[in-house]
Amino acid sequence: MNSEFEKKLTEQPLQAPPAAWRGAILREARTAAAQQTLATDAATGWRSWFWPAPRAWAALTACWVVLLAVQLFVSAPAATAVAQVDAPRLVRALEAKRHALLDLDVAVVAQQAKPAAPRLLRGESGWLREEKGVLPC
Amino acid sequence: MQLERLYDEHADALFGFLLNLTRNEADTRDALQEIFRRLALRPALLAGVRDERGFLLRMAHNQAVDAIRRRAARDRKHEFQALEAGGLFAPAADPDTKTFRAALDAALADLPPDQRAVVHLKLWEGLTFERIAENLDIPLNTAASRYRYGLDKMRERLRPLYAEIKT
Repeated sequence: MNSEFEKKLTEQPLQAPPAAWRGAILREARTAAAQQTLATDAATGWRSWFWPAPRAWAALTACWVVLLAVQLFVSAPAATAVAQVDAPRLVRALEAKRHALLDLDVAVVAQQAKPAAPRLLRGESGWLREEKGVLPC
Repeated sequence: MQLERLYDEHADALFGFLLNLTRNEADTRDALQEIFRRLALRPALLAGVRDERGFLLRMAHNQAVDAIRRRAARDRKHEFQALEAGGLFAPAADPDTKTFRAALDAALADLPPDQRAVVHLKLWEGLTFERIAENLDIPLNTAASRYRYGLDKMRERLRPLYAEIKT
């Protein structure tokens, strides 16, 4: 600060912030902090539940992983073997089922080929037999 | 309590700096709010900081730069406008002083924000070029040259008025 001009500028006091800002700004800042604390508490809630015995949880997880691996290892070859051994029997069973279905189909076609049963017709004075014109009981 | 203390000790300086840079009271309010919001969210932000004022001025500068960019995108003419209401300087009873402060305000508004920031920190915060360079994250020589350029422009602009006040 060496010149008189600079000194003159420095002497000019700056405006202060409006008094009402203080309360509003600090209140908003605290509200934001409180909201963040709530969000953090929810996260730390889970952590505090898991954290006391991390080794126990890790051991349990390891057990599950081992069991899963064993299960996959044992079941995969067995399933293949069963599929190989039973394949001809399965084919035979399917063939038998197909024959049964064909027989059933033939029976249904034969049933449909028969003449239709006499139908009831609705006349002016009630139900009438189509062929004989008999009143229903 | 920490937040109140920080506000009471630094809000005036931050307000002046922000208002001088943004030239807009609403942007200044938002920036000041954001600074204290961050301080409330992270109380440890100032832990280990030797120069609180310098740290806060740096935060204010970053906020002001963001505000200027946002506003520039909305209104290209903003940078060339003087403060609409209130003014940067405290009101004066004496008409000559009042005129000088209004002219000074306008002269500051005409400076580019980079120069204005350095001039403000040098004149109204009394910082050394070294500290200014540190706070604004610029080389020392850049801080010094921006100050000289800015001051020369203001001297040129205020010369007639200043000469009149002196005599």
